[in-house]
Amino acid sequence: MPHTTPLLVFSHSPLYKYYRNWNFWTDDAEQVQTILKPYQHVTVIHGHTHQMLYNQIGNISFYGMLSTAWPWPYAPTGLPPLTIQMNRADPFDQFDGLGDGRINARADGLADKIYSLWDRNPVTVKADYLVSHGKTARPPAPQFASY
Amino acid sequence: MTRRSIALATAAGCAAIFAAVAHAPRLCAQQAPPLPVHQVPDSKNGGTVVMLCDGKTSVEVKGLKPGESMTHAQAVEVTRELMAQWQREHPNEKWEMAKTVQSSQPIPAPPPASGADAAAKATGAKLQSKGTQQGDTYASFTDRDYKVWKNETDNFVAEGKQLFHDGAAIGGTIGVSCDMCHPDASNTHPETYPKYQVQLQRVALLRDMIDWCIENPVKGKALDPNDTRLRALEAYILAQRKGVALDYGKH
Repeated sequence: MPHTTPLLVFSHSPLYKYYRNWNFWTDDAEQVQTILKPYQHVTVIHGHTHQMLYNQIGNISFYGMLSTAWPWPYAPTGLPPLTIQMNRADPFDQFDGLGDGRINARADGLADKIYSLWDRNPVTVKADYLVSHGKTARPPAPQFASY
Repeated sequence: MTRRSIALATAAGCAAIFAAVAHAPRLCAQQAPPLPVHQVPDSKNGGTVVMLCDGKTSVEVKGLKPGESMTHAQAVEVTRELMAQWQREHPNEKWEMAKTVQSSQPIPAPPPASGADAAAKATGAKLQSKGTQQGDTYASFTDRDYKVWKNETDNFVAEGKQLFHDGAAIGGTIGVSCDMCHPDASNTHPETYPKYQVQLQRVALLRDMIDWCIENPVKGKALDPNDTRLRALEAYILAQRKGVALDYGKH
């Protein structure tokens, strides 16, 4: 397969190392990333972490999906620097911080992520934000980040 | 079923759980034992009996009916009489009155508590090093004391950790436990209480929020503030935030 072919990879866990104590972690992440490295445009969509979470490692963009059951707090260390935290979930609203979402695969080989939060306004994270390493298209900041 | 038989049934159920997880600390539904109180002797003349903080020395304020407030003059007389009585009963204790005027005379250090010294010698326990103040309650504590207290505290925190990871143990009915939303007690921010909890429309303490979670996501019954399980949960949550600055009212 030519390396110009855009790749969309779906995995349960994040294919990188975030926070081992909570198993926000993939032991052989480096091996997977080595396989994906030759391709120009790679987007990994993953679950497991139950929060708005995104990362950029080399040519690989990562988007974590929301949960439909319960939101996790952000881990105390290891949060990818590009991730802008979502507001803390309101414990009195059982659907707050939860949601679904969609991926817009673009003609240029990149992919944008729309977080469709059920009880909040949707948040779009554009691939431009990730591939520019935060220089453009910065998503909105939270009022109350995680403790 | 009488109240007594309910209590027995609960205790039996708890024992069964305990047996299933031998060696694991496990708190059951029970009230924390009452704190020790000084037993004030009955009044002999219909007045009010006031006790010194030693829990032994007491005087009766004649003519002051129980529940009435004493005058300033009566209060001064009570302190004088209590102190005089204590000194009569402890003739060998050195007591220095606080000085209101700067004295040019150096105040001699009280001798070390001989009882504690002897006990330390017998057990090999180490007393506070020389050069620190001696002879008071705190100076007589040994390394062993500190170890015992640390163990007691750590065990209580460990009990709280168990409960934090066991929804059924805190009365949950749907298999939800605290750690599912708060791994390592994250996002519990005990250092921010008391604070106005807008959803409750009142100022809340940490225990109010623990009870709220037990009643709602965990689908149990709120625990009494004196329930040992609530106390252990509080201990665990606070222990996770050791070193974090208190910041009450923060949102």
